[in-house]
Amino acid sequence: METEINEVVPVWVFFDSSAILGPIFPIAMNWRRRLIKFEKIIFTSSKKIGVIKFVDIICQSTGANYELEYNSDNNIWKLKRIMPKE
Amino acid sequence: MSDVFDRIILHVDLNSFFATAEQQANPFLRGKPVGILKAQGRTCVIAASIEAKKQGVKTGMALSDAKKLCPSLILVPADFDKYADITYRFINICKSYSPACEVFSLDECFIDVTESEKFYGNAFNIAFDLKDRIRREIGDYISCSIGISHNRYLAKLASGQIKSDGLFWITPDNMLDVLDKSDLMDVCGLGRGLYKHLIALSVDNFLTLRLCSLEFLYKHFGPFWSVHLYNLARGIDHSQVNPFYELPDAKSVGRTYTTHRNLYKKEEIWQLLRNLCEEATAKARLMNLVGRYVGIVFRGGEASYYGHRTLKTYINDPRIFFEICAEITKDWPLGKSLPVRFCGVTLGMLTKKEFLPTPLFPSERRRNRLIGAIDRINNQFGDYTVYPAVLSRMPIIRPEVNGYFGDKSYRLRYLLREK
Repeated sequence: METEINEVVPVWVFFDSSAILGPIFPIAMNWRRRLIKFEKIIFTSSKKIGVIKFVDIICQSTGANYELEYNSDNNIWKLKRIMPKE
Repeated sequence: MSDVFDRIILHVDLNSFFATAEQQANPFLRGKPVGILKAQGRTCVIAASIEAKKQGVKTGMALSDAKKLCPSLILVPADFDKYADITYRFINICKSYSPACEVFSLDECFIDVTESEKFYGNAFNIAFDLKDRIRREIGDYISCSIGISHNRYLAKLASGQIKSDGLFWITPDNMLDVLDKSDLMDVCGLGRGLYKHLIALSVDNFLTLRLCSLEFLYKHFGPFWSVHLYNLARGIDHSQVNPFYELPDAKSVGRTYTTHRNLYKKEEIWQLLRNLCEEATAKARLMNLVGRYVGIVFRGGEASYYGHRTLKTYINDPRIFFEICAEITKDWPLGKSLPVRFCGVTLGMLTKKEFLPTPLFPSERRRNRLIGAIDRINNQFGDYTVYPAVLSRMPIIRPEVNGYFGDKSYRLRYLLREK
């Protein structure tokens, strides 16, 4: 159904503080030498562990949905899961 | 009388909240029966999706029963951080329509729009706008049912009339029709015990309840419930919408936990108890409260043990709280003869910490400073960064939200402070 990945990945994003779903908007990521472009954001949520904020963003691509986690402390993006599309 | 009917109150209820949140986050689950478990390996379905509910799966059902009813049920462990985040955004949307917004539970809000209705034209416009904003700002799969009426009780009843993305207005004209078609157990505030008592008196619907005189109800239910039932049958409710920022201080804090398996070893039971004591007192300290009532409950098998103690001094130190709990339970046959499956602790009779005198003895002051330092570390780096060594050989039980917002004032402050 879904595959746990938990790998650090480079992600291209743009920041838009007026965006409804949150200020961070991922455009694409490079995972295992493949460039994966995102079509839309399906869901965002955030949590705090102490003072560190983690933002979870689920992005839709052509082949699958990707769950990314952004760590505000070290600015690292992690690909957490890959989920099949509907 | 006209004033009573002039109020306009909305009750907004997110449909199948936990399950829909998971379906929003993972489109693969959409349109499929989904059951939410508290964690991987647990055996109780804490929430079900609309599709699962159609097949008979209910909240609180044992997993084996749910699987019998719906073999294709997809099980997903709960993600309470996700639900808390959605609740935070949901509250923000609701409170933008009126400052008189009451957070009733994790997925329910009452909004008194009597004064702000004019800005939107009418209450229907508010309801449609609210539904639209929830879809845009939280997720397109998240839907809500909205009930509109002139009091809280009827607004809540109205939101339950059309399940899943519904909108219903109970007016003075259709009020009695709706009530008469409703089941007594459908209304908020009527418990199972009261219902049984009513059934024993052959009162099984609102029509027969309305025919009961106040004297008759007084005779059988006493001064409080007689008036309450009399009003319920007539759709009368004068209670105010209590804004979330005006919540009174908590009267008690506590934590309950149901274990994955029966605990037989005393060491495991003490670890569980200490963990719950840590969390309950941390909640009190976060709200700057201290308490002097200690309550504890253990359940396992058919047996249930409950004990409490009222102290002369106020406490919020987890070690002292634990020691008092241990003292209360010292004669209980915990372990082999009472395998523990459920444990709960309560710290009650709370008051503000600043009302207490400064500790007299240096050892007490040192202890307070130590607890203060631990709290600051845990606030900075996350819960249970520093914890007692006794918990070191067990999986830590962490704070989590519950659907009913039992510790509402703590949760709301925690939630709104966090963001």
